[in-house]
Amino acid sequence: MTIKEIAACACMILLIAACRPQESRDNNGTLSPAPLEMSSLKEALSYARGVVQDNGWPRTIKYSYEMYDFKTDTFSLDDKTFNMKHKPLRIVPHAVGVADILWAICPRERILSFNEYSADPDFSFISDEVKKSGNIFRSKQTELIIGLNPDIVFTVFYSDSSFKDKLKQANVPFFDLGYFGTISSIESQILLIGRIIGEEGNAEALIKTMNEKIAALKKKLPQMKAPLRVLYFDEGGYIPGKSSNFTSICELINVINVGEEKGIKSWSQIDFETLLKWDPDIIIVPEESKLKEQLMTNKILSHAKAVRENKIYYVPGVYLRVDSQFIILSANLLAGIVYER
Amino acid sequence: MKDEFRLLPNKEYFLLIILAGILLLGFFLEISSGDWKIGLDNLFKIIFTKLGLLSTDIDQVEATIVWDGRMPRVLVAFLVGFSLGVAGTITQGIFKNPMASPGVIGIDSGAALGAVIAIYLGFSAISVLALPLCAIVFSLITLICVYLIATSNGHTSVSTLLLAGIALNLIFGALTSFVISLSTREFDVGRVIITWLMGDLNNRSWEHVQIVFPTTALALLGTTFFIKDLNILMIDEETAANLGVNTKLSRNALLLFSSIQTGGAIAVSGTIGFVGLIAPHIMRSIVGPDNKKLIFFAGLLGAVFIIYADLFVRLIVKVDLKIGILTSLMGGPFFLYLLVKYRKRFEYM
Repeated sequence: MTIKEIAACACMILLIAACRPQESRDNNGTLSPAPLEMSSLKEALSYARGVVQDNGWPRTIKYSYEMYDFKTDTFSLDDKTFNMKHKPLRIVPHAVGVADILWAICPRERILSFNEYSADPDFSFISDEVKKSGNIFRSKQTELIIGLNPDIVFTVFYSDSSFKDKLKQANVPFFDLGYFGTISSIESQILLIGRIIGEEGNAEALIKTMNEKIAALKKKLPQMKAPLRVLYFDEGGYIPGKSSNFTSICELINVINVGEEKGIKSWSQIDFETLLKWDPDIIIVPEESKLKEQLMTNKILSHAKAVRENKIYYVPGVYLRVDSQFIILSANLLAGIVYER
Repeated sequence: MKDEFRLLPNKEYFLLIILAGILLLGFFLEISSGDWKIGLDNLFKIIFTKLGLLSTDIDQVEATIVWDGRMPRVLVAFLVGFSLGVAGTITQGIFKNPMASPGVIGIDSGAALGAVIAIYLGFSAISVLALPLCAIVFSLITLICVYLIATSNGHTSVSTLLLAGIALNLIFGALTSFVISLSTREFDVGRVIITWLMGDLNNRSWEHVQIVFPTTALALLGTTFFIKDLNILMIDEETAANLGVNTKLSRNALLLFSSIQTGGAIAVSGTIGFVGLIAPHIMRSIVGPDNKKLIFFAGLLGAVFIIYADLFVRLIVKVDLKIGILTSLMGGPFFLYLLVKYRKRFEYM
């Protein structure tokens, strides 16, 4: 191979990497009129301040660690303790959900850096703010995080174990958070994070806001004779089930997640025949896909209720991937869609 | 001698009847099974009505499920299996090696790379035809690359073809991994790519049949013109040339047809390994090495493999086991068996 041919191959690789369409979307999701005003709801969930409760340092925190095993689809619960010598002033969140929570309850100058996904509008509701802060690291940049000399790094149960090992070797304190998939587990994590960073009052304030917003949302939902059956159809025909956050979103707005109803636990692939048999009232597809067009033109699905009634809706992926207090934003958006406000 | 001549066709007819019976049963099981329960009388009514043999009222929902869902799926399974069986026979004949398969010259990896790029760049979301077409184009590009590398002064060396195939397999494998690693950022896209690489016949439609039928039929037709030459080429190229065979033309044409068959099959089903290795080998031990017969029987056995593998993953396992994983789980041990069986032969190489 000549140098020219090698250069041509390299260009081809770079072209492939560069050609992937990068779509930019509005995180506020003004797809359809939602029961609660979206931007003020996001604002309320982004900043919570409560009564200062300094319970003193060092402190020992006792907590229940709930872990979800993806392989066996089971949950386990362990009682653990964690010692914190002083109030952490230099904090690094390693996951988007944790960054969302810290953004709301922690004075922002204490957050040293954000994971790259927190700066990606496909994954995070605070991407614009994170981008502005400019302190962004890639998930595997352990050295960078160690170099920041943080008081604590928040990891999650599915964070890369080699990353956690390196933190351990460098004597960087880290706290591994458990399952985040339901409203109750998200609230538990908020309280726990609040205790670890010494912002219990803010954590309680955020939960109070969440509960108020959930109540306000529920109040605005129409009374239905039978709950609507909603199915989230992802690329490749994958459907989320019981332990997915989509079930929690559905529960918040009194609709049924068809995947859960049909016994799917986490995620499972189905074919069009099964989809027709399940016959949901509404199908939700990620906005980044072209799935609506595919489903609407499929011959088998032409008999499905959602297709006949043109009730297939695009929802930006960020609303479907959320695992923090912003899950209420997703529920609000979905309520606007399914109840056709 | 006389008895032998009479017995051989009888044996093949018998084999043909058995394979046809197994295939028909597989067809029936594929069409009658699914989440939507359809009575046998309705099933036959739908099929006969759609074939224009009957004029009766049929349930439109059931008709769509059978005719637009299950029928294309089983036809794609049949054509993919047939193509892989035929392509495997050609490759084993040309390389005079029972352990060769269409993948040895990198066709599989090329097609897989094409498909993965189509998914990653979002082409597959725009049209159902985009992914198969990308796979076919890349498999042909692979063939051209292999040939350009292996040809020097108008002479194409078989061993260089094999080595070039190994190198391209590695390069395309690495590029596929690169695209997968780019796609992991987008979880959904990564999941679709990995599912496709494992081989999948879910949600196949008539469009997929329209892609794989012409590649199968045209390549089979083309192969029949060179089948005699393939038999002679299996002796050795010098003898073939002395017998008046244009060895270069025959070999190149046969490899092109093999690539088209493989590319077309992989394009609609994802990567399904080992069928092209197993089917010709088993059939050779039953009908003998004559490619005139072998190609057809290996194709039928390939179709049987794929249809029953699909039934197994669809109806029995019911978890996320993909057809490509199953064929590899069956083919891997078979490959090892061949390796042990022929190891003495390889010791002299």
